Amino acid sequence: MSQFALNECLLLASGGGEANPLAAPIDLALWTLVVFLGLVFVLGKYAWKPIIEGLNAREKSIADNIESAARAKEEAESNLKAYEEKIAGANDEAAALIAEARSDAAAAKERMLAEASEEANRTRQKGLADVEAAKSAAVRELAEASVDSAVSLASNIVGRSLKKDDHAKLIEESVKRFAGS
Amino acid sequence: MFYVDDHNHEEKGSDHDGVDHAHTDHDHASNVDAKAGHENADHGHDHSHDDHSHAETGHSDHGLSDHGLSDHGSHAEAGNLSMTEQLQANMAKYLDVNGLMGHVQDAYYFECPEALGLSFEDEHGHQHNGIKIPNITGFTKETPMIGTAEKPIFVGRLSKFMVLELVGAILLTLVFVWLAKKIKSGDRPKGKIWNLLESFVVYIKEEVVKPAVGEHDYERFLPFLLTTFFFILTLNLLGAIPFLGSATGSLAVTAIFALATFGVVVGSGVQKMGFAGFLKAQVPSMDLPPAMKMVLLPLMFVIEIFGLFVKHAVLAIRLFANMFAGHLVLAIFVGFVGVLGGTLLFYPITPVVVLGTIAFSAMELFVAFLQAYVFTFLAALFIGSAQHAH
Repeated sequence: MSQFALNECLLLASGGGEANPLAAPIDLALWTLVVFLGLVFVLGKYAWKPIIEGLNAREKSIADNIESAARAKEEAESNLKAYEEKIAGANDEAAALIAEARSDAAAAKERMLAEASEEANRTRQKGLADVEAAKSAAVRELAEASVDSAVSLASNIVGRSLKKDDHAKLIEESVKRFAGS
Repeated sequence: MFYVDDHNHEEKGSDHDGVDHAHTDHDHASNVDAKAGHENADHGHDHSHDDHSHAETGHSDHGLSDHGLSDHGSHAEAGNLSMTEQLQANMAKYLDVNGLMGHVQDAYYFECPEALGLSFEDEHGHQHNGIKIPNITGFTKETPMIGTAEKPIFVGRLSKFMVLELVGAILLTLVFVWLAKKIKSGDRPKGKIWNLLESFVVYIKEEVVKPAVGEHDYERFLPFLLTTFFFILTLNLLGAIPFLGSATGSLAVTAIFALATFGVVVGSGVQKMGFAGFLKAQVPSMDLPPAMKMVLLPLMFVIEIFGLFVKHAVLAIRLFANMFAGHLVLAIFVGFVGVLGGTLLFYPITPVVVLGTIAFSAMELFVAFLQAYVFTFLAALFIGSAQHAH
């Protein structure tokens, strides 16, 4: 077998006019050239050009879509952040309002209590003052009446001659009168 | 030109382009004869018979196993050969270099399984199993359009590879014009075929051409490089279909692709930098003392220009050699079945050969894609390097 193969190889190598693997018939070469160039032209015009344009257009539209999606996402995120801030602000505001209301209410209560106690105080003072005034008026009246009685008694006594018995009688009478008055 | 159906070498007595089969056949046949004895008597020695026997060995019988099987009966009848003798005789028949190459190289007919019963008689009265490609122009290798029978320069006759190229080109046009319509519609990609084709186009565009040529002006080379990739791929894949062939297994075809690439490289380089600029850009700039520069620069220039040609030539040879060798190995593999015919080895070895052939075909499928990719990638690199100074 090896000798057989060697023979063939030698024959091929010597170009012994046998089947020549390196043969390049001009017919086939020219035909190939024509078909190939024709194909480059036809495909170039009717296939590759629209295909490349289509692919590029698709690539661009995908890139645009991605970009606009990214933009929309960014926008949504910033909106979300703003809303969150707003909500957080509202909470704070509400808490402040409640705190304010509470402190207002507490202040009002304080004030009302103070006013009430002041009022009560004032009423009491006034009552006391009235009582005092009434008392002093009564005392004054009493004193005046005492003075009058004493004066009339004295004039009665003076109008007669005062004697020892008279004196006692006078006092008795005066006390009786005083008691009777 | 080495078309399998060409047998009249004796009459012509010429050996241009490897037309003749008889000489080798004759040579190794006699080689075998010496050992194998009488069975191959009609193979050599007698020139008047040689033609006939050649037609049989070289063509109608080539490689197909069932034929080998049917054949071995007659061998056994004809004489009681030892297994070694039988193997040697079969080897001469089924592993004949010209015959094997006949399956791989261009021809004027499409091969068919013998069972289909499609056979025709060529101009020289030889029977072939297959479908003859109509000879529209009427030129033959003996009466070429340009040249003489001894030295045909341009035959001007439609061959198998030409038909396959045409089929591939039409297929590509239909498929990609359809794809263009789909993509242009602006719809999202739907369906397997659309996605498959588009992923190929996008891969070549984004992963091969763009990085190799450069972002700036890669788009104007896309039509050329995409066509190159898909045309080579289609031609490679057509070879994976039994009884067709790979046009890329011919140097004539790959040389044109490489030549076209060379044209684009030089054309775009000259357009970009001017003729002198392009030549200057071939030499890398170096920091050297002037004296050294005087010596080195012309030397480097010669080497780089030489390299420019060589790398394009290698582009053609790489693709051609890969496809040619792959198909040749497949042909040899299948040929083993024929070689083993008539011996007991046939039964254990044939399943191995069948499995091996399947595995090798799968690898060929991979090679078809790989080589189309490699060619396109390198072409893109060459174009890219012509766009920028060294």
